[in-house]
Amino acid sequence: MRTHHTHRVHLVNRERWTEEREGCGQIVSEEMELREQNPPVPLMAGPFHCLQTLVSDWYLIRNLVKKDLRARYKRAALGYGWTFIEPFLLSAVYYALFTILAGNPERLYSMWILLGVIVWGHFSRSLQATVACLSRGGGLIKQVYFPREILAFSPVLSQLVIAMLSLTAVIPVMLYLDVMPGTSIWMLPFGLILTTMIAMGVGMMMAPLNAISEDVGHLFRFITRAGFFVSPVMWTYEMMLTRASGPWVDIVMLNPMVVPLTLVRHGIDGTPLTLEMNHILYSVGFAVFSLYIGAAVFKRWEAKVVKYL
Amino acid sequence: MTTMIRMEDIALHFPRQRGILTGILDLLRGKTTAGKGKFTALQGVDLEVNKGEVLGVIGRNGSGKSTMLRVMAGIYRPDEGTVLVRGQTSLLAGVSVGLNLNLTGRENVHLYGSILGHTKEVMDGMMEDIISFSEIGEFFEQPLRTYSSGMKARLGIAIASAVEPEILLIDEVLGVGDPQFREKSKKRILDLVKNTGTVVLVSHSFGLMTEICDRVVLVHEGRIAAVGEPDEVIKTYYDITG
Repeated sequence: MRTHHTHRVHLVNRERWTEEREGCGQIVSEEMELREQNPPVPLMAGPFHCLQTLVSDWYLIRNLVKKDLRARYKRAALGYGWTFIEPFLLSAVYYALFTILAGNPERLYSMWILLGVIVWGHFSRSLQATVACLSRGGGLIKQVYFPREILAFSPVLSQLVIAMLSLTAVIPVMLYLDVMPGTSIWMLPFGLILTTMIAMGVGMMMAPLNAISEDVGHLFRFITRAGFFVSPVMWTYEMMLTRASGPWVDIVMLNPMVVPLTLVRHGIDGTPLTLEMNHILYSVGFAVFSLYIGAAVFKRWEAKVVKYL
Repeated sequence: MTTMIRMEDIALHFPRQRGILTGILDLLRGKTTAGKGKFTALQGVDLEVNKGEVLGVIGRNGSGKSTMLRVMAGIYRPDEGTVLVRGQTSLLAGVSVGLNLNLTGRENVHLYGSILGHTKEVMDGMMEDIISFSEIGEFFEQPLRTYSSGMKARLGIAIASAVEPEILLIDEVLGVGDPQFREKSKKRILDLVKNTGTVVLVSHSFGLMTEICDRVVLVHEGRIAAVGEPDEVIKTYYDITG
C-alpha cells in the first residue's frame, strides 16, 4: 500500500486506518439487545438483584476482600497476629476494669468478655464500613461502572474473615478454663451470621444518606460507641437478668445485638440457653427485615447519589 | 446500520450543596429537575453511535464531555431521557484508579481486570501480554508500592487496554510515562481502537481526531452544538469558542 508523506508526522495513516478497520465491530452478536446498563429496579426487587450480584461478581468481590485484608496488616511486623492480639489486650483491660468496679467475676467471665469483644468488634466495624461504602468508593465509582452493592459486600466479608481468625484466639482460653463446646456449637455461626446481617442491613440503609452528607457516618460512629455499653460485651444476658426485671428486661432486649452475643457465648461454653423464644424471634426478624430493607433502599438510591460523590 | 449507543433527550443535574435535608428530599422526589441549587451538566442530548464507528467528542474544559461519556458508561443515571447500549462498555479514564499499592503486579491484574468486568479466565489469558507490554519484569511479583510512578502507569494502561470490549469509551488517557512508552501506549490504544467495534473518544488532540474519527461531536455548555465530519466540527469549535 502506498503511504503518503507530509511535513507532519502522522500518528496513523487515514487511508490505511480506514482499510484496516474494515470488518471491525463484527464481534457484536446480533442477538444482543439495546438495553439500559443500570436500570432502576422496583424497591422490593432490590435485594434479589443484590443476591444475583453476589453470585455473578464473585471474582471481583473476592479480589476486593483480598485487597482489604492485605492492606490492613501489610505494614505491620506482626501482620495477622494482630487479629489475635488486639481482642486479647482489649479483653484484659475490660477484665481489669470489671474486677475493680464489680469485684470478683465468675470463672468463665474472661472468656465471655473475649467473645463479646470479638463479636462486637465485628459488628461495629462492619456497620461503619457499610455506612461509608459509597462515599469511600467514590473514586472508583466515578471511573468505572460495576454493581455498587459490591462495595457493601466486600468490607463486610473481610470483617467476617477477620472475626473468624480472631475467634481462634478463644481456643487457648478454653483450654485453660477447661471448657468444651457441645452440641450447641451451632449457635456460634448462627450468632455471627445474625450480627453480620444486622450490621450490613442497617449499614446499607444508611449508605446512600452518608454519600450525601458524612454526618451520617459520624452519627453511626457515636452509635457503635454507645452501643458497646448497652450491649452485652462487658456484661452478659444472665448478669442483666439478676439486676433487671419486668419491663426493663424488655427494654434491654429491644437492642437486637443482645441475642447474637448471647448465642455465641453459649455456643462456645455449652451451657443451656436461657433466652426467651420471643426475644430470639425478635432478633432474627430484625436481622432479616433490616437486611431486606437495607438492600432495597441501597439498590433504589445508589445510582442517584453518585452525583453527590 | 446497527445502533450501539442511543441517547435520547438526556439531562443531568448535579446538586450544588450537600445538605442532608435537601439531599433526602432529592432522593424522595422521583425526578430531579433543573432549578435553584442545581447545576445542569447535560441538557437535551440526543446522540446515536453506530456499529463500527469511531466517534470523537470535543469541547472546552467543563463543557460536559466527560460527563456524557460517564452517562454512556452507566456511571451516572440521567435525570431525564434514556441511554441504551448494545453489549458491554468499557471506560478508560484515569488508568491507576483500580490499582492497589499493597498488592503485587499480578494480583493487581486480577483486581483491576475484575473491576473492569472481566472474568478470571480472561485475565489469566491476558497475563503474559500484560507482563510483556508493561515492561515491569521482575517487579511483577512485588507489591505496587515498590514501583515508580511510570511503572504504575504502564501497568494500569496495560491492564485497561488488554481486553477488547464491544464498546470502548476513552477519556484522555493518551500520554503517560516516558516519551518512548508514551508512543508505545498511544500505539496500543490505537490498536485497541482499531480492533474494537465501536469507540467513543474524548480528546483535545484535534490532529488525532481528524485522523481516526469517522464523526466528531462538539459539546458546548452541556448541549450538543455540532455533529459531523471532523474538519467541519473542529472549525465550528473555533467559531463558537473563539
